[in-house]
Amino acid sequence: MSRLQSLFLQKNKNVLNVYCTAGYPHLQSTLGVMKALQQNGADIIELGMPYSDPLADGPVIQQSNGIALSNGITIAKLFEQLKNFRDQINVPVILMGYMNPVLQYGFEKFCANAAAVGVDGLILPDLPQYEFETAYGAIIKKYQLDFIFLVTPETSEERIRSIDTLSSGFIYAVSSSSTTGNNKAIEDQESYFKKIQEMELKNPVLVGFGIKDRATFQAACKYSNGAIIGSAFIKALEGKKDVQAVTKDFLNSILA
Amino acid sequence: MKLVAVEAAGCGINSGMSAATTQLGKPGILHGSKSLLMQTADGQVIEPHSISAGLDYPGIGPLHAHLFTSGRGIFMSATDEEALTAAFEVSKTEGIIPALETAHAFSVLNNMQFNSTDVVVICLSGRGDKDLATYMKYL
Repeated sequence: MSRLQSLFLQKNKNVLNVYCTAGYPHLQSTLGVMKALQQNGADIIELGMPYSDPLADGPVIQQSNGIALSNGITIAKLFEQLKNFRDQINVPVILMGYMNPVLQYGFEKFCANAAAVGVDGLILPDLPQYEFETAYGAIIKKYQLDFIFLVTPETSEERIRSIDTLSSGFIYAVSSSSTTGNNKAIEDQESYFKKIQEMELKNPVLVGFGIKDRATFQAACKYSNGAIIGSAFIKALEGKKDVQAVTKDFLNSILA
Repeated sequence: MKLVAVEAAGCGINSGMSAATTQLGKPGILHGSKSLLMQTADGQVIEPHSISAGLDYPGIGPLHAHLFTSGRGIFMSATDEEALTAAFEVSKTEGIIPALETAHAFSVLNNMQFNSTDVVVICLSGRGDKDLATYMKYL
């Protein structure tokens, strides 16, 4: 059983997944941020692999990607940083990024190294269902990595059902037709969240995009198994040296 | 029928300020398409340059990439300066102000060999009205 599966067996409400950009705010801060997230109550860590053209991300995460890239992060360096992270971190860790850097690194080599260091799953928003089924899904499964698909308010019920059969770990319900870090009200999407909830999918559902504080976290959790916070945390980390303290304060503001 | 494509060389293919994707790119994925893409060894997209907004892009469409890799098309390139020269020439001689993108296609005509019976069709893909601010800078 994967770490994600056992997490959701133990806890199926108010699961908190926090996104952080690898190599941000400093090249060597990746592991420190991850440790602080675990210590202060994050149930899942989603580690962003910086890309020059992060198409699902809003300005805050885009900027953090740019900073991390100028700090010198690459996929190869990230795997070096993650080499022994399982000595200290036991929560599920997901790598999130875009296809091109992974493709240039070598798709199978990437999956093999991710599995070898102890990564649990992948989010690649620009890997669509068809390409997953015909080319890449088999490689991801070979290394027993969970693959998390995104659904949006525009995704048809039929497609959500087929995504549910292909996904493992959880399904990422994008809260609105927008990029990360938007200011759309979660409450406005009630019918969409209810629709997904009533579909009784086999996978747990986490809501992301626009979850930024305790109120939006709780609103998102009302209809799902939990939520994902990214931009708000990245904003809190911006330019900060003491990532431990920032992370502690941030998670306390959501959970305490 | 020969197909000829003209890419934007910008300030020159090896100037570091170019958008000549078939010369500078390799297979990659951007904006949902797998095609030829200007990128670093780590797969980060390289900022392109062309005086023409429509060609100032680090990739080309998959169809064009296929014409290139299959050898069906002949791929040439034109610099910003060559495109401007051609645009002014077409404007003066034909009374047609071409878009900067189209001007790239016109600019290679002088470098090509034709027989007197050849029929040449140029895709005048856009009007130059939108580029007047740029053209006036260089007049």
